[in-house]
Formats: sequence, C-alpha cells, structure tokens
Amino acid sequence: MADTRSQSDRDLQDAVITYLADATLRRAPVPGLPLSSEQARRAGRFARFLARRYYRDRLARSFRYSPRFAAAAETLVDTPAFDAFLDDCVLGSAAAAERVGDMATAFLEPLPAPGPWWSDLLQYERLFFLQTATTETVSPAEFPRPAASARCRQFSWNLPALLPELKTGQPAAGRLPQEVILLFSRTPQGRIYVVEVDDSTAAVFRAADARLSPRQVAEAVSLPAELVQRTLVALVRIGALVTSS
Amino acid sequence: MPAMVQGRLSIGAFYNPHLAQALLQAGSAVDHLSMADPPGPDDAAFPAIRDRFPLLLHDYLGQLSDPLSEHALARARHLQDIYRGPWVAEHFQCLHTQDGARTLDYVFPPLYTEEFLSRFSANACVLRDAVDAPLVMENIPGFFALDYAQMTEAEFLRRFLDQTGCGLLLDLPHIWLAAHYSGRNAREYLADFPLDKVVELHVAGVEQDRDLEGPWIAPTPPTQEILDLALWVAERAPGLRAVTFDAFAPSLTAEVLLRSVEATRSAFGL
Repeated sequence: MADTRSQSDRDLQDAVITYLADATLRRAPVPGLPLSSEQARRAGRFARFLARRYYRDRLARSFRYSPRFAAAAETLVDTPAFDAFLDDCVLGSAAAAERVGDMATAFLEPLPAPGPWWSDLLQYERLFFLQTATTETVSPAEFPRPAASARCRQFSWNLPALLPELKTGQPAAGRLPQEVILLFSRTPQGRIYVVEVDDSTAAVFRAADARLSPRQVAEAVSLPAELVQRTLVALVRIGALVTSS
Repeated sequence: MPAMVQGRLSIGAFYNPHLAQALLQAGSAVDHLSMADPPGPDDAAFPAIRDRFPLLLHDYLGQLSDPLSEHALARARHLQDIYRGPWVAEHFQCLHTQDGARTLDYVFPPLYTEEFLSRFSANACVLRDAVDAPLVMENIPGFFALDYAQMTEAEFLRRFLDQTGCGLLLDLPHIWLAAHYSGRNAREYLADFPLDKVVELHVAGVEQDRDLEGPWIAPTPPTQEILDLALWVAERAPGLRAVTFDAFAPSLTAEVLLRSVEATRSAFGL
C-alpha cells in the first residue's frame, strides 16, 4: 500500500487516511506504513471512533423528522449490529452509506407507524442520508453516468409538501396521498439537492449509464434530443450525473 | 458591527444556533462568538446575533496541506465579509486525500515533516491574503504516532509561525489529550511551544470514549485542570486576546454553555 522510500510525505499522509478509512485494510498486518504493531492497534481504535462519530453525525443530520415520532436514528450506532459494521466498513463509501441507511430504516420501520406516510418518510430520510454520508466519487466518463450517491425514487406521499407539517410533530390528518418522483443528489462542493422531477427527467437519469451518448439516451427514452441534452446538463449541474465532457 | 473588548481578555463561546435566544438574553455574560458554520438560511436570530456580538471566523475553510481552490478562497472571503472579526482561524490538519475520495471528517494532524511545513506555510499565506485579515492556526492532537516525523509538534508550529507571521490558537483540551496520550504532563508538553504567539485559547471538557478506551474532547464544561492550564498559559502569552469555550453540538444546553463561560470568566478573575 505505501512505499515510504519513494513517495512524498503528502502521499504517505493519503495512505494513512485511506488506512484509517478502510477497515478491510486494517485486517492484515500493517501494509507498508511506518506503524509499530502497538501504534497500529491504536490507529484501529481511532478509526472505529472516527467511523462511529461520522455515522452518528450523518444519521442525526439526515433523519431529522422521524425522531418526532420514534427513536432517533443515530442511536443505531450504539448497537451491537453497528459494532459489526465497523469491522468492515469503508468510511464515506456509497456501499457503507447504503448499509447504514438500510440498518436505520430496518431499525425504525417496525415501530408503530404514526401515519400512512411513515414508510415514505423513512425512505426520504434514507436517501437524504446517502447524500450526507457518501464522499466516494465515481470517475467521470465521456458520457454521463450517475454520481455515487444520486438516487431517483417514486413516493406515494408528497414529502416536500408534508415535511413542514411533520416538523411540528402534528401532520394534518386530512392530507391525502399524492405521488411524486424525487431526485436526491450532492454536488462535489457538498450541496445537497432534493428535487421533484417529471417522468421524462427520471427516465433520462435512469438511462444515463456512461455507455450511451446523449443521442442514444434520447433514443432509449423516446424523447427529443434537444430536451434530453438540456436535461443532462441540468442533472450534471446538481451533481446527479457526472461526465468528463 | 461590535468590536472585541479592549483592555481585557474577551471571554466567549461558539455560536450554537439552537441557543441563539439564550445568548441574546445572556446580557454581557458572553463577549464574543466563534462561528463554526455559516448562518443557516432559516436562522432568523442571526441578524440580531451579528448586531450584538463580535464574531470570529472559525469555519472549515480548507486544509492547508493543499492549495485552496478559488471556490474555497471566495467562500472564506465571503464569510469574513459577513463576520469582520479581528482574525480568522484554521487548523493544523490534513484529513482528506488529495483526490477527495477519502476523508476522515474530523481533526487529524499532518505528518510533522519539512514537506508539510512548506506546504502549510505557502497555503496559509494565500488564505491570509485572500481574507485580508490576520490568520491564527489551531493545534490538533494525534491519537497514534507514525515512525516518520522529522520534528516535534512544537517545532513544527514554531517554525510555521516564524515563517508566516501567523498567530497561534492554542486549544487546551487538544494539548491535554496530546500530552495524556504521550504519557506527559500538559505543562511539560507545552515547554517548547511558541506561547508568545498565542492570540486565542480554547477551553472545554473531556470525557471517556469507549472506542478510544480513553478520554477525548467533549462539549462539556472545562475541567479545573484545563482552566488552571489556561491561566498558566496566559501568564506566558502577552498577545492573548480571547478565550473561547469550544463546544458546538445539538445536545449542548444553554445552561452548560453559560456555566462554562462563567467558569472561564471567574478563572481569569473577570
């Protein structure tokens, strides 16, 4: 992993950061880092501390509405299941965020539902969590592809309209279901977007997989090339898609 | 925009938006506020906070081990334009990989080497020029050590401050932890630190962490040991202007914040 004889100090620091972030690297004997076995044990403890702190913070920031009605999602990080997760997580990876997001919804979903929108709310918070807890990036390709944490999902309840009521802890009883498609994304600068999109935009997002040119995406979704081009540009701007072109 | 108090130490705290009303009602108990995050768009109390307190920029502006992007420099300028504090703070830390793919998202010190000293010095000057204000740098503790350092933390800080003319923001819980985990007394650990460059002190508490199997920084009141250390440093820091209770967390209560500031004020006989 690290050849301390030929690399710069800055590169070595990157190797240390990667070692702390990736539990799978810490399973084997110290891979080329100038760490004694005693200091490697200490580094392992520090890495677990960092990961537990990171996911506690991201869960609290993302599962902001459900605590009005149930346990706070961040209490998950103090459970034995989370201890097991710490043994093989890669801090900031999309896979780790997916796993913690799933654990959080599984933790909260069995609780008595405070309303028919409960499952949708947890999915909304889970997808928001993916944005706050993912620092992993995907390599831009010539043609647009989804960012590591970008997700598009149909909801039975119009969450953006419902959230102000949920914030008070007393949602209006007379509100009816209303289907919406929401796209969750995060820019490289860390700005998070949750935007309501139409069927066409959702179709373009789902079709953009790095293998198709904009014209091929237009053919795949049966939409005008000009509209698809504009949509792709907008999706790149909000961090939902990445491209090198 | 209120100015920092003159003729005595300014005793302050970090701005916690959920405690804004308590801060506004606290009279003259809190002299200044440090800003760890920009004011939120839904923070209705911030205009009154800005009118009432001198504000210190203490956000994450970027890691000075690497050149700051134009975006980061513009953001730092923008925040300093809002706060107009007498100095701007950053940290001796390196927590992101160069490609941005991995981050520790928390305080983590650089390797204390000539290369890092050169990197921090060059990038700090760029940041200081961009914000057009004095820059103070905060010490960061390590929990483990690589067999690689070319100098001590104290030498790294002293040479950096000499090269750049920056000030030192001495975080005393960080010092206490660094000393604790290296098996030394905090005053002994500080023996070679450039205390003559200290502009601001941070005080706070520590508590036991189960992963570390030892103490770590906590948003709790400063212990008497930390306050005694603050007084000891103050006697050796002729440029000291401010002492800040370093805690910002949703769990922090107004009672703990105000009690901590009062304890700090009392320790300094103010």
